[in-house]
Amino acid sequence: MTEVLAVLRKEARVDVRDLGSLLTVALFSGVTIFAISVASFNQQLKGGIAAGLLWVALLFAAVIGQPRRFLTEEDQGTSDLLRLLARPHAIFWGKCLMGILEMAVTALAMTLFFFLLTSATLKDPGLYALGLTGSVLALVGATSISGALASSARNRSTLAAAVALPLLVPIIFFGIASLRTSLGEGLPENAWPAAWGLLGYGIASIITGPWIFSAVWRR
Amino acid sequence: MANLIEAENLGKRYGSRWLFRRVSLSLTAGDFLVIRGANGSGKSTLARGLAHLIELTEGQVRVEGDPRLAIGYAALDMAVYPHLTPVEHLEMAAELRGAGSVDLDRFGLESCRNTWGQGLSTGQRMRLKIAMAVQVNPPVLILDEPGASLDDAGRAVVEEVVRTQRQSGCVVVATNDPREGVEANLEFRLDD
Repeated sequence: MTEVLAVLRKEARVDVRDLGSLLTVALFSGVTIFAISVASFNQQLKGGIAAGLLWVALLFAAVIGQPRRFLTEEDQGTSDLLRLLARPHAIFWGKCLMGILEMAVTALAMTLFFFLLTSATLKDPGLYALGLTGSVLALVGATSISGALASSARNRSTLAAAVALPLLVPIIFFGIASLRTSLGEGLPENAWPAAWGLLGYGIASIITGPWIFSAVWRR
Repeated sequence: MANLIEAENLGKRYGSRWLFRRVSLSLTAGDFLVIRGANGSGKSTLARGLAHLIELTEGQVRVEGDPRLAIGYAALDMAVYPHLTPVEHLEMAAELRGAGSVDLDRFGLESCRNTWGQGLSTGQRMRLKIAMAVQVNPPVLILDEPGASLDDAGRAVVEEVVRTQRQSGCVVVATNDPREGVEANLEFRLDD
């Protein structure tokens, strides 16, 4: 656990000092919510549309932030230093933990502004909380795996996007299904299993990620 | 005396060209091996292979225990984190490997202890990498072009580190500089 926390501390310091990524995520999420609020001004935002828009903003926040954590180690030449110091599981979980913290803050801020600025109404807070938690974990898990798998490749940015696509498709379905019902559209008997499935997917991908990562980490 | 590092029939091939082949070595405590060779002969690749940083095409490198703790490695072309200070680098390295604290004065890092990596000179970065390499008192210390960016004081630090390391472990230095490795008891030329 000490090793995971050491990597987490390193990630936090780097993120706070190199504000580029945090600002990009914040700007993108903020602008998306603002655009939704402008587009739906004086209109009742339907649950399905609201869930889709909210999820797109979450998805892009994850795609912008998380794979970069793995890719920049190679890009800036610090991967050798990290290889010398840390074991793969500590690197993967440390970076995942930082991703979860960053995405959790982003998701909460987006939720706050979303309900303040749009006419969307929350019908099932429990389902919304579970769906959002599952979405954050699943997005961080899937984008971490895609970033980890691509980190040693020559065209890593392209490969990370290509690997992320099949990993993200099931999450998109589950995520939107759970959020749309919590926002008043769809059937709860379909939404709850989707939200639990999302949570399971996230936990499974974060737990198994280090084994995938260790296969590519030692070149 | 027990071997601290053993390498058997190491070879690295890029495409159809062998960079080096059939390289074997074994080092015990007190040994100081200098690897020399022309640019592009594979000195750094061999050093990285010995440090378990790259997979070689053939052969095996054996050390006792976890390579993270058994091998200290510092190279000129290895980057440090641009947004972390030397103190934070050493703290992170200590937490990740269960090592103790480092006397920054020994490596001439006291004056830049709170400077971010991006603000350090190439020589200061090299000193920091050497400090991290010896932080866990590894049995094997591998230095790739250690003196290339160092001033006289920096070279003296490297000489002191090598001398101390040889008291209980072994040293491998890859270099083109004839001033380096003069105290070595073993020499290996890669272009032979």
